[in-house]
Amino acid sequence: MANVLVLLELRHGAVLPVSLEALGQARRVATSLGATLYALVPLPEAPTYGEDDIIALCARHGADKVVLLTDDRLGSEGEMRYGTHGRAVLAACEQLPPTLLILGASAGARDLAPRVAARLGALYLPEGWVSMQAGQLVLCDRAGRPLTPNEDEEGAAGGLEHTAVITVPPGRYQVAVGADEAEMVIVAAPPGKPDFAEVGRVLSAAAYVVGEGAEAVREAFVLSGAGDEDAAGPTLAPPGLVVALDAAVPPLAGAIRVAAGEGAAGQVHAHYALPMREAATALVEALSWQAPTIPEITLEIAVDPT
Amino acid sequence: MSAVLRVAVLLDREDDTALSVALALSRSVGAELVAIRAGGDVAAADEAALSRALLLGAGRAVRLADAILVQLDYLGLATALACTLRTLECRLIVAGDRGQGAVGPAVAERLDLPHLCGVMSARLLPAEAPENPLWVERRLTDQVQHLSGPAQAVLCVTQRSLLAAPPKTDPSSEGQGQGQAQGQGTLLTWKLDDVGLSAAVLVHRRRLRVAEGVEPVSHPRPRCFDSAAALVARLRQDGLLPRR
Repeated sequence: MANVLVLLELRHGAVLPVSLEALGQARRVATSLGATLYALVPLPEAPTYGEDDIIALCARHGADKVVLLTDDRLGSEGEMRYGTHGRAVLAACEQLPPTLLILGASAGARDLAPRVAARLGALYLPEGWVSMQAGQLVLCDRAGRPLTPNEDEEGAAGGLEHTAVITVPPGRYQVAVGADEAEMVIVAAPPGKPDFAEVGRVLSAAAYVVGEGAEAVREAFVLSGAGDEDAAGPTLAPPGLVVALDAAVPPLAGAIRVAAGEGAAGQVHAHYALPMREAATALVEALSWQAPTIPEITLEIAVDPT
Repeated sequence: MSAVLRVAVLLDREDDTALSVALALSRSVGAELVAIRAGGDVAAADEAALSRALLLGAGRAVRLADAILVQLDYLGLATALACTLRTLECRLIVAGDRGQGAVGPAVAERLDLPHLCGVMSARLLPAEAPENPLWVERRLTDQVQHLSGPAQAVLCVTQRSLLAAPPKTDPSSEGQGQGQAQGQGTLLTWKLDDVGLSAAVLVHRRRLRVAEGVEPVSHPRPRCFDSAAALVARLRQDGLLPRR
């Protein structure tokens, strides 16, 4: 039987919503494929009584089985990366060879997923689309275009020869509803030397604007004199963002799409929308009282015909 | 250290950010910088990027050329680049982190090196930290993280924002770079067999094709929130806004 694996990402002890959305889409795909759906849950230490909650959470969101990954490096840094989580994830993949490994698109997944894919010799689809159509597994690239193997590479699993590793952005898929219980499996990472050592972390704010309104925002940013540019890129203070958006939004009709994520221009990490142009102002006001630190936010301003 | 350390930068399109980080690293310890770019039969864009790297201070530039290279997926390309890096004996590698952001980590896998993505800047401090001389600043979702580690690694440099100013060149080193370009900097073109590979070895890693003539896939629309407050609440759950 095929295995579909979903790696859940925890932050501040809670599962990220995008992980549950990934689990939801994986549930729908696994059901159509007749595959077993495993939720991989990284835990710094062996599970205790409280971990029952997370097993129930995974089960309620569609997991057939919950794999608790243990390694003392898992909680050693603020977010996951290959150096802290890679060995545990690969240990799970060795025990449960996946047809699909799905992760929520996050800063951590951008570090972890491609390296795991390379180790597995897998296809890698960042911010890809995965679904079933007419009983066939359909994988699409970031732009939503369906992909097909080359003529000499067709295999058994949905026409694909290789395992596929896919990240899906927040907001794209709905969560699923499952049973109240799931079987639990524990996978311990093999021992190994750490690569890098964390020296420290600091809160850092930055805002980026991409899309059709980017040029107007950039001009407004410069004209307003808002923000404080440093070597790592600009830090756009909330008042500056208000000024910039006020300048950019009026020429545009329709709704705005809001893409929130790592902030690297052109990399959309969430599929959120606000229905009306006026919502931009409300959003900025809501963000403004988050001062003094807005983490990286990308606002993609674009005309949305709906 | 500088006698054995050789820094490589993997150029992908106009990759000024990765080049800037690589130049700073190589200059900090006087190591040679080698710029590498893989491409197909059309050489103009590759050679322009590599010539620019030579002008800015790279000591050598290598174009790996074969028609198969433009058909490969991330892992096929990484395999070819890793063989090139082995031939050049480069173990500190700077790559761009744009697009799929997958080639850098895959190169690290092929070379059995640690890697970091989201890198904003890096320094080598061999005198201060001989065991872990590489100091790296990288972006997390809402924080900037500082790490130290070995001098042999793959660093995937995050792309600059559209709002960011173009990378500034060091005027003092610009003259040196031009001197190297005119006198010492060398642009080489290598074939796959120069790095111990053949197209036959790589052909199974051709990337998937976009399906033509098939029924379009119906994708879900972006999640639409009723209010800005609801969106802000979700952003907070995502870790993209501070928790109250």
